[in-house]
Amino acid sequence: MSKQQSPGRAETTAEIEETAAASSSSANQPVVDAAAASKELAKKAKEERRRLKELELKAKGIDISGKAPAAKKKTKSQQRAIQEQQRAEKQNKAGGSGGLQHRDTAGASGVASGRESRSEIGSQHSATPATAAGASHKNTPVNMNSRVALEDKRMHLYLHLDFPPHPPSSASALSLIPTLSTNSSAVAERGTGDSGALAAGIENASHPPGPQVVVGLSREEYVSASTGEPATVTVSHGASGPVEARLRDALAPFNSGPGQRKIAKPTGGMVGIEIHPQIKEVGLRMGSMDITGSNARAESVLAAFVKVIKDYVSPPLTVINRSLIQYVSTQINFLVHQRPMCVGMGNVIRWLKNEISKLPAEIKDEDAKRTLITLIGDYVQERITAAGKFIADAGAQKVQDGDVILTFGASSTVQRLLIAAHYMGRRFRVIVIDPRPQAEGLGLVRKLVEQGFSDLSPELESTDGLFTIDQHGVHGKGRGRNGMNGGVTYAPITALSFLMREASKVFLGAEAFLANGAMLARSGTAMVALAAHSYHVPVIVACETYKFSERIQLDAVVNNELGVPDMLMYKPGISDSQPVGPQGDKTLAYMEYSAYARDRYSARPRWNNYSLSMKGPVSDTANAPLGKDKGKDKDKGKDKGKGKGKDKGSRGAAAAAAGSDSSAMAAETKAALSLKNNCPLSDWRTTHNLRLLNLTQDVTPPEFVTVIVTEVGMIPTTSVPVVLREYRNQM
Amino acid sequence: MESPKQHPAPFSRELAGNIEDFITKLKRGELQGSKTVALKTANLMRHVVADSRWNDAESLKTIIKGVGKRILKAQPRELLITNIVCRVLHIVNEAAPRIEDACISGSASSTPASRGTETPAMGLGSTMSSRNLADQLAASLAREESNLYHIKTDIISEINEYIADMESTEEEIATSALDHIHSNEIILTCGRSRTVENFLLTAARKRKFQVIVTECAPTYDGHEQAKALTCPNIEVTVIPDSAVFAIMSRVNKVILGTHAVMANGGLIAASGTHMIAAAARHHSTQVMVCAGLYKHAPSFPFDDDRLNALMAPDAILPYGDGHLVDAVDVVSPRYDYVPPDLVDILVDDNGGHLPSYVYRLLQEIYDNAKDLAWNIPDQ
Repeated sequence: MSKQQSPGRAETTAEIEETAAASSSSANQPVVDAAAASKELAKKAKEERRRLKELELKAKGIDISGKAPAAKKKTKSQQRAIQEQQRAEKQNKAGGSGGLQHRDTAGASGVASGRESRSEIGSQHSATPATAAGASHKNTPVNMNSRVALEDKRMHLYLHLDFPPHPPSSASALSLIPTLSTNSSAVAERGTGDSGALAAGIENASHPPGPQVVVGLSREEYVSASTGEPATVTVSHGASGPVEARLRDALAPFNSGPGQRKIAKPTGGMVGIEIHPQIKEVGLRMGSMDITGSNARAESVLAAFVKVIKDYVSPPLTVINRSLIQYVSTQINFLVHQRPMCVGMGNVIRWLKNEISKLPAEIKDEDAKRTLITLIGDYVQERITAAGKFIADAGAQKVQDGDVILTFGASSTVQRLLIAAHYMGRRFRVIVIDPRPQAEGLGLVRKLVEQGFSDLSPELESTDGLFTIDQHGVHGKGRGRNGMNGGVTYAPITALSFLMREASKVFLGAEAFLANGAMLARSGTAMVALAAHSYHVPVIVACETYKFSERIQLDAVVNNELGVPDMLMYKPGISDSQPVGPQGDKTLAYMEYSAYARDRYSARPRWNNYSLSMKGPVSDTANAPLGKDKGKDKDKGKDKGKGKGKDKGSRGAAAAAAGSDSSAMAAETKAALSLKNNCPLSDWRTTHNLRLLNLTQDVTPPEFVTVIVTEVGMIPTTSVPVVLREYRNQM
Repeated sequence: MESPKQHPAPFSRELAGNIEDFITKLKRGELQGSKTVALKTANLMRHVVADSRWNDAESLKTIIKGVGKRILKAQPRELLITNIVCRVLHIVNEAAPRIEDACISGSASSTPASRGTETPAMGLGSTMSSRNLADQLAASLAREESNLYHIKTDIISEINEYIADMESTEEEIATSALDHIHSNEIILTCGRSRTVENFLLTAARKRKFQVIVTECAPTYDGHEQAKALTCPNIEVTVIPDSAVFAIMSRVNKVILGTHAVMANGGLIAASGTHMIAAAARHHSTQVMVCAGLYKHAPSFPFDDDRLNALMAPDAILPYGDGHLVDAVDVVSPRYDYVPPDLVDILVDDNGGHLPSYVYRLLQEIYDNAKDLAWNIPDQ
């Protein structure tokens, strides 16, 4: 008999608190008036958001680019149906399985009773826009014991759907895998349930039914399993859109593009070893670009492995350093499957494996685990956290009053560096150049504005001698050209050569330094460095040494990570105030169209998933049936149904909860419609001979980099192999 | 601001309306694209030549310069206006000797006659002679006018020819496509350019190759270009602007369109072009620029900011994000200046040139300095 397993559940503290509040407030009236409930929810969501915002502000650390997930729309009736379903499932599980349930934490059990009573509210809560809690989740490696905080409701969905009531046979599960790795459009066409099954496919491929050694359970999990507490699984069936979006994102490397990446099949022969829930969370969040950036990825992986090691119980008659390494490899395979590793992460994992293999054979499990966890903690502290701090401080010394710093994209290290320089009292302008299609630089701009960078302008203009940019500025211009005098300038990468003349220093972040001194970094970095080189502006790269790699790569095409190609077909925020395209009268046509279509907007909730922060395209992609004619089936059935539901019930709630005033709504509409009107490439999949290629990395030749700021000092690119050799000796 | 009333210059009501209309459109930015602007300007100039009153080359040139100045004031950064006006002035200059002849012959035939009639009229005051005088004057004027009329039609047909050249310039340039594009080449282009589109599609009739199109971020013209280029023989790949350097190592040739070509061979092209050319230079990839002759501007780019324009920022940072929009300068330039040393070859209607040859070419297209100074602002 195969054991029913409920997945490791993870949740925010925020959610739990809210849950408690919700259950206390509305447990006595199970059937709430729809309008009242929605209002209440909206209020609650607002409060929660405010609170989280505060948390977010407090949390200074790695930028996980907390994406505010798109609001999920569900009709009231649909929600209710789902709740019924959930309840039924719960009862089934509680009664039928009697098997193991693991729970991540003991703390959660305290809320368990509250959770049951809140089922109604709970799933409604999933209809409110999930919070921006992502940003408040700090990947602090220090507090490894703390409750796993998985804020994202959609992740929730993944974790739960991995475990269908009837585990599919391994044959069918395996058959799903090729689908997964080759045909993304087929994947996206599946419904929510299927996507769950798909995820389950990954799971079950390495997890055939049958009795087996269950690994990866913490003590609390054993306890809760033995007490036979009724299962308290909340399955939050969200709207299909975000799920598909996540799935698509998770499948980014598998997208059929030119030069499709070959990925190792997950968990080759590792039968009987399962993926630890923490690894699953991290993997899926990486795959869905929820965790991006080398540092964030490396830290979160190490944090996850601390949990993994802590939970690890070596099978009988095995030595821990052998069995653990095998187990860890399986976990890593899963991670790589979600998204190819970046160099820093690869280094970190190689180091970890090395450390595990260095454990003496006769060591006790507990000792081994303790040793490893300490080692990991030290590594994070030494090579990542402290290194980052040192780099920020050392790099900030290079910022002088009056500098115009140009940076590209958003690098956590550079961000810290700039903020450190700001705290040191330096007065400088920052130009943030942003690549397409991620627009991550906008996040950096936000951070800088929060830190008060943009308040510089009055001082810049003042002539009291405080700010004498003329002495320092390369071009001797206190004010930027064209009257720009603010502290922060934001521009697309096409404006690079226009703005480079103003810059006095270029600060860049890197994903890795290769043994030949070349810099592997986000796509576009090479152009920025080239521009700086040709304008004779020094290029200063902030990079921890753990990102140095033995690899050598001469150009970016031989080895690159492909982004989702569909990201390219969207043009965010095309304006109607500027003439679009070569014919001026297009503007008018566009405006007329949007005026007409605005009336229809209420019946088109799918655009609600389009957010102006340029993340929208993904969710929209997910909603669009791939490889099909976009317009037709949309207008007929789906949207009408959705629209109706929206009008009736959740509209007010959604509007209020989204905290969006009508102008934001209108802007969104405009953006959404312009998207539809102005996307000539939207049918690229069906157009012969037309492809979109979204390279995410490039290799900057070493001669463009003036200096690398590392925790071992400021070194030229030629010293990269030297540093590598030092650390190799240490290892 | 100059208003039409300050110009006693004799425009018909229709012409005055046309000029005003054109100026309004320019100011509103309704005319985009070098060719559109060039054609519209040339049409207007033809109208000016046809519909205004002038007796000699100088007065015609003054009128043309006056109108040109007014148009240019509406859109001072539009190089194409200068080009066209200069070209029309050149056409008038070429016709100038004939105009002089017409005037001289007209006055030569009339002067003796008038003298002849003048003396008796003064002496005797006979009515007969005064009638003779009127007749003769009328006759000479008619002769003169018919001469001028012929010259006017000549000038207009010259302008017509120029317009026709402009219209066919893409086909002309495309005739050399097969000399430049080989089978299985990988060609990189950027933004929307009809000239490049024609060029590549012409080559694709015979050869099969691959084209990489960059998006040109805030305008995303590359999307349209990619769509337009899609044909059985061309494999089109769209890449983001940031991936240019990464992909350049695989590119055989960069073929660019441009908004204008400066006298030193530098380009005023869509923003982002400079970095593409620089990346190409770093990889020693040839950069070819397709530009019709009408795009050659007779001036040197001493201050390239004067030639640029900033676009509305909301394509980059939507106005919906009010707080951020307030706090941040968003820069979205329309053009890039590409220095001539990054351009390997310029292909125009007559074939390829080096950028260093452009100044010589300009002497053939336009006249010498004296007529080029018209566009210098008064202040």
